[in-house]
Amino acid sequence: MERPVRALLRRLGVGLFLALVVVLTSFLLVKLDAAPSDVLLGGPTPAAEERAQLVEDYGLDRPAFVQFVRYTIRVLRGELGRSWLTGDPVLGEIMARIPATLELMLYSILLGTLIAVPTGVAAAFARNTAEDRTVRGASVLGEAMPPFLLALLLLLVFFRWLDIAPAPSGRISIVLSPPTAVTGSYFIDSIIMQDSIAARSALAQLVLPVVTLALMVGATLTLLVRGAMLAQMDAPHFVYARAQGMSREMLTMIALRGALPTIGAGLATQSAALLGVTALVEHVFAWGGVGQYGLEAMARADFAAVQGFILVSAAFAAIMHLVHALVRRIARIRIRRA
Amino acid sequence: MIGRLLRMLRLLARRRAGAALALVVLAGFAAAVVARPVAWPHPPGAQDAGSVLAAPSLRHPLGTDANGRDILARVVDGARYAFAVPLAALALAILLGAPLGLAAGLGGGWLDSLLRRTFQGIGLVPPLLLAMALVAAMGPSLRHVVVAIGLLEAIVFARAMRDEVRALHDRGFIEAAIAAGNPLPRLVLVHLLPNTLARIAGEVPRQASWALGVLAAMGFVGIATAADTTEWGSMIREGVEHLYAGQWWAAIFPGLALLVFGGALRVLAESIDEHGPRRAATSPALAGATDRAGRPLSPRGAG
Repeated sequence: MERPVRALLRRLGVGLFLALVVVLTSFLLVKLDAAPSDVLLGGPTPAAEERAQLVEDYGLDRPAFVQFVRYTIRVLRGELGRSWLTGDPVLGEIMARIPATLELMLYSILLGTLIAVPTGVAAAFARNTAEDRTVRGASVLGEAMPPFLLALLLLLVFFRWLDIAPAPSGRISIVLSPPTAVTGSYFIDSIIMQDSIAARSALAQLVLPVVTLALMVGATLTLLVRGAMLAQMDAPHFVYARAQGMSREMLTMIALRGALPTIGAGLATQSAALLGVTALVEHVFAWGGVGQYGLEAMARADFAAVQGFILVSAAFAAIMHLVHALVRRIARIRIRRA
Repeated sequence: MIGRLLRMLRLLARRRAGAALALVVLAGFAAAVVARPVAWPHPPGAQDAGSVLAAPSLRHPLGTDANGRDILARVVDGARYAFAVPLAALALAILLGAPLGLAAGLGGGWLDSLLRRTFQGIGLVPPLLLAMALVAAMGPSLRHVVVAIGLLEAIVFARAMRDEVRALHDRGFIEAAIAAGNPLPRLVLVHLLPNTLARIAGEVPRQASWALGVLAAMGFVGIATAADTTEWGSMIREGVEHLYAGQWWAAIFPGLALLVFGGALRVLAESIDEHGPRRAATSPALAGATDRAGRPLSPRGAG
């Protein structure tokens, strides 16, 4: 077989295996519970016929392996079951909440990167000075900071004390109605609908959760940027450039260019795991996104919803890694051409 | 020359100072837990009907909660969870993870690939969320919290162990030990394990800090524990509604305790990264795949 084809098949095989592991993890979650899982799937008190239907659907009277196969087939068909709380299909409920979460994450990653790259670069150039130590101290503190505590501190100061931030009541002021859905982002949709009051409200609601998440992202990323820059600054070509007396801007460009793959990899890893932190922040701000949905499902033992949430979060991480792999490949092709 | 030496010494003292301060903080928490019953007049459960949600004062330095209980006593009492849960989870994680990593590292081949890919698949779900889902599935209790965190951290230790064993395997002295006819148990116990200890121990503070964060997150969301414990996350959850009404102390003080305790663990982890054995990118417990020493990461993509 030709090499590229074989490489592709190998990747496909690995991808399938990873997907199987994820589905198995999600399947085992319901096998693990202390109470019989059919009860949990149907809520604490399922009606008799509902219960019979669940036993039939999931094959709960059959061996675990058969149950797993059936579960896998259902997942492949996109049937993630119904939430016993609302009675609606889990997939639909999750899909409806994805734009809210994506909006939050996107702005946070952007803002976090904007904070982390200049700070990390400055710290690397100021290696082992007071400035560097301050940046590192703040980053380590940021990494130790529970996201919900940061959110609460910001709310205490800017909502309760200074009264310049809106209440943590979701994505838009409770007296306004959400704009017609186009992109799913309330802010962008309000602008499209030329509703300046709604746009302003949506933007105001975004500020604190985005700042919270951006600081969380920024803390880890700053240390990463600093480390990657330092590695570059030890490289012979950089030492030579510095000895030539190049300007700080030129030196930054040279080192940053070499550090980019490391920073990109770190950003991808972080984004893939960001849903966990986002969920906590959504919970505090009543954001109504996927993360909050998942946490509430866990607190209520709404198992179809928990399973769906776990699958979707894994899918999100996989997409992040794929995007990263793709970007890296394109970058490599460009390097080869250059 | 002398100036440079002095600068280096000062630098070293400063870095050690971070780790020393962190240890002092942790010891302080431990001492407070031990001393509280005799040194502090208010038990954590005692309700003072006369002062409900009282602001910090001389009588109650950190104020009281909605049931009129002294927050200082409760915060100190909550430190027990901050010590016990991460420690128990770490013990479970090392007991499970180290043998797995050892087997994968020594065995290599299909076992190694199978474990690696399985961990990679599980790692796709953000560990914080998976830990919470596990506890939700097993039912809320502290023992289940320990099991869930321990299982996920076992992956970290298995990976660390595996990498360490692979790296040692290629070194001359292991080859020599094999050639000298050491039986496998002796090879593992005498030659391999002692050389992996530093790496495993070096991972401990970071994983403890992760465990603490997960425990608090579960308490905050209301998954881990029944109402009314002094676990810090649960205390924060109970204090949140009063925070919006202006009585911030019920939520913020347990939060600060969490930050200081977790911060101390992080500082320890950082100083180990800086001075301890160099680590590969097997970290965690999530996004932690950062290499502070500045070596390029080996990105673990989806394929």
